[in-house]
Amino acid sequence: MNHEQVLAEIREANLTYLMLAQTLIRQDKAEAVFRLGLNEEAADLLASLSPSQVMKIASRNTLLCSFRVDDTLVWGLLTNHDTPRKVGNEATNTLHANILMASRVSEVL
Amino acid sequence: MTDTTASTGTSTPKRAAAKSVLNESRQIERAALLIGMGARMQVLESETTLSYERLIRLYKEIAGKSPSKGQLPFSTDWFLTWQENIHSSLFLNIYEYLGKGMDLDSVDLLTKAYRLYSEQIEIAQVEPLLSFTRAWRLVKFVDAGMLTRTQCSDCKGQFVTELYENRGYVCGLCNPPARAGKSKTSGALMLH
Repeated sequence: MNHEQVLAEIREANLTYLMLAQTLIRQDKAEAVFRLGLNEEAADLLASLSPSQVMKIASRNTLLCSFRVDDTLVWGLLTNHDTPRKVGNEATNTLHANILMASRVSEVL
Repeated sequence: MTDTTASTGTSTPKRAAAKSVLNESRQIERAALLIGMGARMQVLESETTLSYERLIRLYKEIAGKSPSKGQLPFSTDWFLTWQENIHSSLFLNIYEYLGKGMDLDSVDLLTKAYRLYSEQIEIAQVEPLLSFTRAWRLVKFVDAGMLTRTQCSDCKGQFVTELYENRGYVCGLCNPPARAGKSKTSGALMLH
């Protein structure tokens, strides 16, 4: 990928993210808060953006959404890799990861 | 549509003006939603202001059968057994997450949290052990101070427990009991 392609790909990803986020928030804000890991204030802000604002914000050299899995345990459970204990099959690990991720209330405060 | 109910729904159902036609239609809509999710009569009686007779009629109309009779199980034990605890903890975490993130009316909070729980269970291809009525019961137990969430000292996740767990509490996933995860039923959680 050359320089221009990289920027175009980032803009594309940002655009997709922002448009999906807006759709989710307008459909059901509470569900969107959970799915996106954003607080209500941020959700209101995103939903209020006009298409031209969305276009403008998307055009930058960095991504607007960041990685939500920031600890090695959850990462290990999701990839079924390096799980520290004897614990489980894929479904059990997925649920464990879900429990851990839903425990992070600080995301939405 | 869901947005309007979310923003107007801060008052508790019991206190709403009983005579208003608009309120009654809101109550019927709410009862219909709950019946559709598989709620039993006890849930409907507690979460709406409609009379028992009207609820029965509504139930038959929507579900096409009479509601199941009898009392709900009153013990907190169910939520503490291994597999059930995993389901209960997942649901309660989603419930608390939504409750902290949004200002929602109690029925909205319950139904949205339950829907998100069901989604995650379906994606993980596991049997949905926690019924909607059980989920409601769990919330009532927590409200009444009979169950709570405790942080696992190992994985740091929140799990449904009794009130006074000791400080070194370890969850059933970090330290499964000897006989856990051996179920042969399809859709049951397993351990290797």
